[in-house]
Amino acid sequence: MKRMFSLVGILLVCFSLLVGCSSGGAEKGSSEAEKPKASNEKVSLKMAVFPADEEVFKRGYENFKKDHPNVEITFETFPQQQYYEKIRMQLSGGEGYDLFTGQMDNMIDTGLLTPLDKYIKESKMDVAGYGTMYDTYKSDDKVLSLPYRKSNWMLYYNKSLFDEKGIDYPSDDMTWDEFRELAKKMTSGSGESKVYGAYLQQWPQTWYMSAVQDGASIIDKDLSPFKDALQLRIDLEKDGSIMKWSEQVTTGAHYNAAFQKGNIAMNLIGDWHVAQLRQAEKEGKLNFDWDVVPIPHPEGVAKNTSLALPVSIMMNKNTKHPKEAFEFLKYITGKEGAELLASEGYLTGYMDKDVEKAYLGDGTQKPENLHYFLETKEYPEYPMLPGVNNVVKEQIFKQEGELALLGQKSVDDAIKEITKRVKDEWASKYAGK
Amino acid sequence: MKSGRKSTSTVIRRNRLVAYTFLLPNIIGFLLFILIPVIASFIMSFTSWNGFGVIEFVGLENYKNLIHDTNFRISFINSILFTLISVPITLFLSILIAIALNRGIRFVKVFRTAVFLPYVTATIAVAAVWQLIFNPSMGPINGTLMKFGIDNPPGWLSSPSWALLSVSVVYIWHSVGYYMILFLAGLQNIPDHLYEAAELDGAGPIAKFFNVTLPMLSPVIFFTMIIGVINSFKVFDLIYVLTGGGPGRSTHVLVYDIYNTAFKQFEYGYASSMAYVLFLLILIFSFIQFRGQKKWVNY
Repeated sequence: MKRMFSLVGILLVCFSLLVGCSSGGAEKGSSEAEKPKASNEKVSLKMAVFPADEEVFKRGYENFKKDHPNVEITFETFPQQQYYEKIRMQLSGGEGYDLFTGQMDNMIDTGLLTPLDKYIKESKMDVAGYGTMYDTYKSDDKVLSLPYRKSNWMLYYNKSLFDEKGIDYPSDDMTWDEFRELAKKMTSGSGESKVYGAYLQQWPQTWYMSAVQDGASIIDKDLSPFKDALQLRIDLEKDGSIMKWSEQVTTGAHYNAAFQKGNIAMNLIGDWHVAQLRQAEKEGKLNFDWDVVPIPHPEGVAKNTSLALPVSIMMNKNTKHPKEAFEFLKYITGKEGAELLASEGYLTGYMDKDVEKAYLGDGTQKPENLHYFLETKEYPEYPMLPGVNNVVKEQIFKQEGELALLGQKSVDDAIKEITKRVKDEWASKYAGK
Repeated sequence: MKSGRKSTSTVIRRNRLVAYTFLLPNIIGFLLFILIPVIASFIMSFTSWNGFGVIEFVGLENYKNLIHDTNFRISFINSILFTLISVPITLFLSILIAIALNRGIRFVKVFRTAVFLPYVTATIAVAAVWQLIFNPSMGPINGTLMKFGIDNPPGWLSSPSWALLSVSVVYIWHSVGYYMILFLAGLQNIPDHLYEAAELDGAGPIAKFFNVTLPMLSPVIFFTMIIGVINSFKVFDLIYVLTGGGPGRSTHVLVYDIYNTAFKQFEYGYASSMAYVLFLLILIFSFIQFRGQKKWVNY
């Protein structure tokens, strides 16, 4: 009999452990739901942000809190590479965020994005500052996110290297062919004294951008405009003006470290590089002068035509405090937030005279010609549709492009294969949905 | 009073109950973290689900789609190739090293540690080192090859035709130590009198190896083959850090494809169906090996 008791005892312990775990979760959920909604009641929100943006969002929140003392926001972040994977996991587990940042195409299929139109209307928000982006990134005629940064592409150049060689700085109106010539001129040396004319990060958009500047899109049925784009990168490597693809990949080369080293004449990368270079300067790591010009353009395309990829804030449909959440969204993506972000070197989604002024600063900060970013005509880096980034860009363009860059495939074959795979692997699943 | 027989059976029954009770915590863990997820993912493999909203039952569609999926076909073939390259070589090398170490050469402990060390080193560190070794223009391998007059040495990890082989090399180097330890234990279990008897019969070292060592080692070889095949089908971390499945799709293996599908494209149902094909593949390989063992394994 004693034994039976002990058995029952152990069983009870086991079960109570299990039950204890599950009931704990349930209680937590219900208590949150029953929270009364009064305007001066303390409200806590949770927001997921990109790791690089966490600091500036926290600063933005400090300002926001002055007018909204009742709103408490905690920020969470994950390493960039697993960002979407993690926040989707959290969101689907019900442990949600009220707001999250990101590129909309990664989140749109969750069905969690609240249409913001109603709130925008109610709060009489001025959306003119978002420019054409406001309409471009609508989904089914609804605004599902508002951008806080644009990520435009620019050409950064090492002034000191150009001075040393006595070659004119790159112009703001340069075709890709002229860029290739200039890169060739700037290339010299070998081994330790090697100077590369240009640096293109091993991302597919660094080669496919010239086609997009011409109005093509990576999900087009006819991708032949991309042939010249791919060929150009191969030619640059053939000239020796850029690092070999194989070397770049196996050494895990990175545009920031590479450019800072001082042996790269021109670096083609996004607007965020401004902040990185300023930071390096502050730490005394840069021993050369630098500036920016618009990226080269294809023949017949207007100068300063660039690619942009907005990073925006989205609101969870299941948030219990949509009003407060929208308040913050409005603040940080709107004029006030934009001024703060712009002063930190962000090319913000919202732009007007004041934000531009904040962006340009008092002229003491480099680069001298920052104003180019404000005059850009933008094409989206890729269309904001589900799967375009993860399937079309990160897999198909990357993998097939790589084979051409390694000389395993001809450019024609690579583009043919890309066309086929876009149709099989993306269009058949996502288009029309 | 109960009869003697009856009371023994009660005791047995009671003892069993006690045993099960002690097993219970473990069984609950197994149920919660293994069996239920396994069943759930099996059910999920017949659905289309992105982690949100309704789970839609699609029947066998996921499995049908696999047939036309080039990513899946490529990773399927790569996985099999990878296993066929790495398992035999790993086993061969680890037997060889185990035998050498079993000879009682000097500094056995040092060598044993040296061979085992890669196995306990973090994959990230292993990958970083091998990336340098394999570097096509500055790495020591190609440096040496070029010194010997080979102008166009292979690109190793950056070459679509060499990448899978290069990853296998790292994988083999990484896992040899583990199997070597198993073989060493097996070798030490072979009683000396068998060798003495063989010597009396006039067997030389080679005859002793083939007639005593190998047959006595065969159960260990069988075990390591099963484990080795399973492990090599499950390779992921090394591929993820060394090549990311590239160049092109040359090192895309099944688990990498499953990861991509589930956590980059968020098609959990489809990824589950891939996982079950992988499971089936491993099952077939293991079944063949179990069938074959009767012919060569000595117990």
